Amino acid sequence: MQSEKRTDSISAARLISSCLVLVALSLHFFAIVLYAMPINPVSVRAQNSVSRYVEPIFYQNWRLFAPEPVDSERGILLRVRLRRDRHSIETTDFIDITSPKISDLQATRFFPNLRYRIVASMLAAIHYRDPVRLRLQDLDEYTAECYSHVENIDLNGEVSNEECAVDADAIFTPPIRELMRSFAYAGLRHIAPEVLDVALSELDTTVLVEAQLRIVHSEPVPFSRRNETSHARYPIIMDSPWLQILPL
Amino acid sequence: MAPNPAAVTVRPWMRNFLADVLQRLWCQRYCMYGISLLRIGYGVSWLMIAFTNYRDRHYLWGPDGSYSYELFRQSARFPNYSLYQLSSDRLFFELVYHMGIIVTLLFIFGTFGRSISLLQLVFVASLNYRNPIILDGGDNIAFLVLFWLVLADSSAISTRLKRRTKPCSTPCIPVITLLHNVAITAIITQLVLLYFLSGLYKAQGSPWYEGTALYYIFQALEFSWPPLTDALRDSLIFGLLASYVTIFFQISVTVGLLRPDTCKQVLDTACTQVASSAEHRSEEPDACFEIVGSNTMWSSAFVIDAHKKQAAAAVANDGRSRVVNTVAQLARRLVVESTAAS
Repeated sequence: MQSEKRTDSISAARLISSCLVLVALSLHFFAIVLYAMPINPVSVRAQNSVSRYVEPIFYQNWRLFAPEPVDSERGILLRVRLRRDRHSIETTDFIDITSPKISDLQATRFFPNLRYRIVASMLAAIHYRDPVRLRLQDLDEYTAECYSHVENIDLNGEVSNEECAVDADAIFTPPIRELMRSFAYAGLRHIAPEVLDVALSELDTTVLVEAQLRIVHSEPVPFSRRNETSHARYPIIMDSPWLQILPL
Repeated sequence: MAPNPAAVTVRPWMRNFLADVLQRLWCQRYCMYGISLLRIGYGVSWLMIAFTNYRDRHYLWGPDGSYSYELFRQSARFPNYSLYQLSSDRLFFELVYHMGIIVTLLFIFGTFGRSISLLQLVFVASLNYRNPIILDGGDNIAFLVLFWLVLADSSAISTRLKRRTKPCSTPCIPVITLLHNVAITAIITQLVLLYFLSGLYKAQGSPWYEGTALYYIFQALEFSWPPLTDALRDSLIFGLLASYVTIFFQISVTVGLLRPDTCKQVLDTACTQVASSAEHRSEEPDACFEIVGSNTMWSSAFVIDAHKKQAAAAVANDGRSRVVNTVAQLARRLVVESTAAS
């Protein structure tokens, strides 16, 4: 009898524990579904509380080339401005710090070099728009205005961003600027130290070093024009503000 | 003596049924070889990424890398969320990075059991949070799977190779078994969500349902692989088929993962390869079944006490799925027990 009682109590404890685990697991994945599913009235309403639970550890995003696939060639150029003395400021040419890595990427498909992802992620950060605002048609049109079409391709030419001066702060928000500054800084140290014609060790705080990133897009050839050999892919470029990157 | 309330309020068939479910949850570890393979595959992949990017480690994750230490500190959600947060010293970075590689090696070999899985989680999370801007969907699912893998018993293959004994041949600790089964369930659910939601997003995009998505994706150099993608890009039939197959596969893989037959076909191959490397293969025909069993458990939580080999033979003989068999047995049992009760 004692043995039966003990077995029953163990079974009851296991049943209760199993139910608790099942409920916890169900709640967990319910929160994940609400967080990761396409935008809808329920997920919008629960967004704040669900994000607080999901994002620290269980962040996930399964859009994966959807609904709109990635479709443009993208790259980033870098140039710097040096003040060598009180009267002269020297500006270097732009140097491409991403395209050379494309061939490396294509050569190692299974375990690729992760460098190129930085460019893609930075562009994604710049172009990120809140999906709820997009759905509500509260969409700013500043992006298009801030790009400049360059038809005679000279990526080192000057591009005027004056027309979007008002909205530049909206695009290059403080976090984006900080990200770009970090990227430019690392680019000078690790990818293109030759942009600076002085050794990094010789730089000190008396030499003003500012960097500017030029983001280059090539629009895709529309599907309907895929057979038109004359269709050119003009680059679209956007310059960041000058970013102070000292001290190195 | 007062009667046991459970014995009075719960009908016998329900009682047996619950006992059976509890027995399976607490006393039988599922997917032992599958999860072990997963651990090894995960470790090897992670090691390859660490080696492929070894020369660029400072640029990608270092204190003066593309995601600066200051930026990293500002964006960190909790104090010490990543080991790299503890110091901006270059030597410290090197130490942690190389320790991560050593931990991954131990993780692949299954040394120290769950402890090493936990350490692997800590090092992977540290590296992921050090530079979140280089993460993609693959890193995302890998981390989520690793999180649950810590709870699972993934030592089957290493135990088998070391001691030449069946995994869990000694009595298993019930709580650990429950955690293992919960981890398996969570991993499968997470994979189902990945595919289903990804398919759902694609079904919303006009380039996908118009069949032009791959045409546009292949124009981006980072996703092209000339000359293969150049040739495929202009094929109307390929573009349309590939788009639709992708959507269909991603949405329907949910059903596929829930059907044990589908999993059996996929996993039997891997299992056979692993089992053939072991000396006592003939002693363990159930190994493959254990892998399939995890999916069975998930899909039909109300599995009745069908004997493993009989059920497997039934599936093989008459081609019916195990779910069908299980439901049929459940129905038979209910009829028999309700007749006996009345």
